[in-house]
Amino acid sequence: MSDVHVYTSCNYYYLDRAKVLATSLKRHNPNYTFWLLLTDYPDDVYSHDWSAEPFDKVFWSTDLPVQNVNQWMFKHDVVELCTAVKGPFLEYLLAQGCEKVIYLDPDIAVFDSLGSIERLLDTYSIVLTPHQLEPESKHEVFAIQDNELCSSLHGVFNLGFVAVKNNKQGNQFATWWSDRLQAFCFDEKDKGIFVDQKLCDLAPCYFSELYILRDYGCNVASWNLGHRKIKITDEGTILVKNDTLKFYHFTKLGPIGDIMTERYAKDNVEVYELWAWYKRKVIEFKDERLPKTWYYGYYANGEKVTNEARILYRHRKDLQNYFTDPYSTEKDGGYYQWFLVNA
Amino acid sequence: MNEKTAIQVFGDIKALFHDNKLDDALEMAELALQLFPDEAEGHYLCAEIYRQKGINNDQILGYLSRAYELDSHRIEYIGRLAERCFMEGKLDLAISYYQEILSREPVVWGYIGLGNALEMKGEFNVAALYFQRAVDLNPNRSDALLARLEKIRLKQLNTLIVIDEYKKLISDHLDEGQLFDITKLIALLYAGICETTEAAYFYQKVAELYESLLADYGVENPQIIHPGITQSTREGQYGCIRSVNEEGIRGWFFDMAAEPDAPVALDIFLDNKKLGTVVTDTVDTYVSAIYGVPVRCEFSLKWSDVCLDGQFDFHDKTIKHLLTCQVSGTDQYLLVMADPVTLELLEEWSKYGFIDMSGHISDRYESTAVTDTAEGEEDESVVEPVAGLIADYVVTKIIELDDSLKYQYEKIKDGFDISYYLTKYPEVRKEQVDPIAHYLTVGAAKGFDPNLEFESKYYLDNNHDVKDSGVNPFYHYIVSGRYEGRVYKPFAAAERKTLGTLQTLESRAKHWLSRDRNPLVGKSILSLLLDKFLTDSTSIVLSVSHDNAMSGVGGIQLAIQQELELFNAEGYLYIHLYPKQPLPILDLSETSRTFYYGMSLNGTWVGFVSSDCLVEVFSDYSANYSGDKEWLMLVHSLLGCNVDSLLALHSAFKFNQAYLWLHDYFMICPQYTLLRNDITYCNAPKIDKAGCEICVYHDDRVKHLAQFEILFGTIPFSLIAPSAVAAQIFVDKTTLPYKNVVVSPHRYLEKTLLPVPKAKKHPEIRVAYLGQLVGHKGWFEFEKLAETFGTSGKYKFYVFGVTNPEVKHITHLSVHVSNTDPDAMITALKDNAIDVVVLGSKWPETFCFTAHEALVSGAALVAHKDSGNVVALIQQYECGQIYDNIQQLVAMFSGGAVDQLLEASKAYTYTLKPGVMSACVLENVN
Repeated sequence: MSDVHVYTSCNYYYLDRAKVLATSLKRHNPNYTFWLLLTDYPDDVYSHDWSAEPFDKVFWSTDLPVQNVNQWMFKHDVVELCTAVKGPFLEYLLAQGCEKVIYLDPDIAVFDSLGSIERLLDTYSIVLTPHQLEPESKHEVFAIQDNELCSSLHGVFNLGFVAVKNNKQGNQFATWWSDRLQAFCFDEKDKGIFVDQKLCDLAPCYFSELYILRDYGCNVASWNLGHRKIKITDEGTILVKNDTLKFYHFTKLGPIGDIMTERYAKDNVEVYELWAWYKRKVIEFKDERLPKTWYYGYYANGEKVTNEARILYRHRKDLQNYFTDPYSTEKDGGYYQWFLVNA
Repeated sequence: MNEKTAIQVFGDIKALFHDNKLDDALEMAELALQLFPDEAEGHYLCAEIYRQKGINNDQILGYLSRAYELDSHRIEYIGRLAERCFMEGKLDLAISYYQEILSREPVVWGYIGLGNALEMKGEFNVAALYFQRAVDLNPNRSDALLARLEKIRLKQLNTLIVIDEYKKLISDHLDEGQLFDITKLIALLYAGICETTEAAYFYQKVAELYESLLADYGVENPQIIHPGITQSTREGQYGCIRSVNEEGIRGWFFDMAAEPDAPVALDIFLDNKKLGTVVTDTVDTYVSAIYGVPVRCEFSLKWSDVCLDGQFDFHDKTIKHLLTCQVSGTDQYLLVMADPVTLELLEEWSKYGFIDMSGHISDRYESTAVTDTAEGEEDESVVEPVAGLIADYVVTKIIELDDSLKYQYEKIKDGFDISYYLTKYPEVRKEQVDPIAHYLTVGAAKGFDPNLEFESKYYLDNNHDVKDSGVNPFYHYIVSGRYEGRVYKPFAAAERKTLGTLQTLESRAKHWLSRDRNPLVGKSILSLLLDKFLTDSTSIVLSVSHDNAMSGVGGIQLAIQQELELFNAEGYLYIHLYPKQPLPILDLSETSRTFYYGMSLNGTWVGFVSSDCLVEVFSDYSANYSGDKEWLMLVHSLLGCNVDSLLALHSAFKFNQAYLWLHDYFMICPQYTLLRNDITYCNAPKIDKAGCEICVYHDDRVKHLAQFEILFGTIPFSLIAPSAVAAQIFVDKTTLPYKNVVVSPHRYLEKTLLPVPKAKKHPEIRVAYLGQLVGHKGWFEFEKLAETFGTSGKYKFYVFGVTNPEVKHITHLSVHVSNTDPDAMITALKDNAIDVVVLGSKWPETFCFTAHEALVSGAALVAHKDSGNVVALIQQYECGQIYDNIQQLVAMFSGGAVDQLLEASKAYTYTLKPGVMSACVLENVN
């Protein structure tokens, strides 16, 4: 039995989903160690009893070995930051000696053993899942836009999943990915950057031991449902085409997710059953006591960090040098005051 | 003594009092009173000592009054004071003191005391209410109280006095829920004596309170326009028609006894002429302290669904028309719009194309309701019919279209269903305009649909670019959207609706909990009753099911009634038990709670009895009984039952044999039809499989199987299945230990070859659907069948059941099988010469009376491949065809399969013979 570590990354807002992920993973893979990488602040009002939660370990992203972590965090919005931390934390886990590491997005739920992926890491160093496994028909203009062009823009592989072996090439991948995420994890598609994902289009070129997993049961989501009919066998196994459903990516919980799911699931009732289950579970794990705002989206004086302020700071070295902790408003109102007056 | 503090002295007095040294205590207390005249405790102790001594001393009241005066906070002082007042006949004082107590703390003894005082005053109804509260607060010691309540109810005076009593209560410090209950009671009582004005007033209040209660839960509701009154009827159903607006007629009603998930069909009438039928869904339940859990439904009859066809006369401008509403197929329930239908209202309706249909409109209405066309111009303005319009429709009014719209007109006209549009939107027909032009200029913006398939509003809501561009949705779809794969209607709409409303059975059960007011039978009465029936050698059957089988007409109930006759004939005493509190699951409450059963002896209802009482009485009997007897346990259904109490009964009764019927699949999963998420037959996978895990009933199943393991692990059940199919599924899917399984059908079919084949009475083939219009019984496939072949001339389609589907090409015939008319379905099918019955159950029926009835009536069967015993019947008797999906079903009707089936079925006839169902038990016994 390998030493498998699974982690996810989120802030408080996604904690309910992360709990669904953790419980569903442990239910089918009880021997795996589950890590929660939390990019938020241990709130005074809400002091959390983490031992009661379904996570084996909780790691705060401020504890990551990133230089001037506050400055680095400030440059990102919540999605960018929760994504950027994935790289340094992968490096951290490998450095701790974890033999096999799997990252799963918090809005994924697991429905079966991930043994097949675990075994792949005996042969390969990195495993990625493409968004798409089949080309769209030339008549399906919408599907080409939604799925193929969208994948070209955002990245061929969905980085809601990545599996890495703690060997030479696994570590090389982790270092490369982490380095890039520490410098370029932004949503700037016009510059060819889309958080942690677009970069990974290059990964198969760089890493010969990378395996592209073409399992229809992995990372099923609205972007590939058009080619993935789901059914449930008499024995209660959930099948996607002929593969067992291993994990489903419940992306965009809410009306948009519903519309995209409907567009591609059409009459596939089992897909709606999966969603109904997921929605029930998220509600079950909802914790109203949690802070409603993201700690790192605010200055120390309680004012919201605007996108403009964040982006300006991201691009101006001089500001970074002068305001080493941009959250701080102590010295002359800090970067907050400067931006108010000068920008 | 002087050195001691008051507390010490009183402590000494109490010690003497507890040692029963009452004289010493009294002496010391009287002394203490002199020393500490302002200490309430001293006065109280004096009163206690006198009371304990049994001396009816007037001073007691004085002592207690003084104690209360000095310290009004101590509840025991005022309690004793109230009690004393009651004993001395000072009832008004007692009542006020008890009210004082209850305003501070809702204690059981307080309610009982208040109830006693009120009963003594002759205020039986209010007394009953307080006794009820005492019972509610402490159901464990409710036997005597419930008996008392019943006695009081017998003494209740006439309704108006009762109403007065309830009205007095309204001034109490009631919370919103209590106020709601009481107001509703008053309304019901007024309605019961036909005081309709008063009833309407109180229903208005009820409605307001209900809105307010809903608002507390964050539910926003539109303002109530019209209150309703209940004119009949069965207690527990009421509601109102609340608004008439541009959408149609809307309203709501409660049913105190409805099943939360069963749809209810309502017929809506204007002056006793039917406007249409609506099928309502439960929208929520409200837990009432008095009534338990009423189901609240909302209904809405759209103008487009109203069929009037000139049957109304509106010439009377003062109007006394009544808009009423009635549960379909019954005569027991009537909602009436309390306000008379006013002239203004009629005018309002006319705007919605409603009253124009009458054809008997008075002058005044004609000018507003018909068309703008002035008299005399009409003939000239008749324009030739638009190409493709239906034959009887003439366009009289031209809608001008610009070039762009004319272009769009040409593009969409092939896909536009004019007949559908005019039927669905009668106001367009009334305006006598070109429907396509109407859709392009007005209809699409109103969300009208150009045909059955395309949903304009849905298309725009899901394609924001189209919505933002302002392009006509259907035109966009025709020229562009369809090539882009855009979605124009909700997929799997019915299933998604079901998924959106799912709840675990355990949470549904919470809404079922009620507090009824029925009497309990205690040990002495039960023993007396049993003495009548039992001798040392009497054999007993103890039968358990989910409800009072002696008054029901369902399959299980009829089976139990048969069984009763059979066992009585063999000299057995037949005891039937059912849970007092019905539930959609097992009773999973904690074991310490007393469990109550409803009970009948040889078919006569006895009352409610606690499980403890049954155990006690039967333990005694079994200890004294000789060995020459058979005691059998026969479980028909465990819904609502409590495993611990069954085990206790089993142990007390010392049964020779225990049987459990597999009428459904409850032993495998509490979703006893095995429909995953109420949609698809799940085949009962193991509970750790993902396919089970994603079902809303998964957690219920886990809990139930744990209970069943205890039950089956203790009682060695023999199982009886009504069909081999049911038996096989149980054997394949269960993990529970059991003794054996036998098959014993409720009925047998006897197939006879006719000397001369049956002659066909009608040229067309008559196809029927029987029962509830629900997806898992194949309703949607049948609807599709009728839609596809309804105009073919070869087939005619029928629905036999309570609910009228109001669907084109389907004739509805109301059938109600009852105790008095058990063959109603067979008769109706025969009378209408039905040729084919489609049974589309998507889960394995364990027996299916309907299939048997259909065959006896002379019809052949077409059934879904998963319909269990129906498929088995078809295979055994070669009396039908089996389909897998809608495509196959349609192919059967478009090809020659149905003709062949009918040809083959002409040669045979079927009769129904009673099964040996219960006899199989006796055979084993003997």
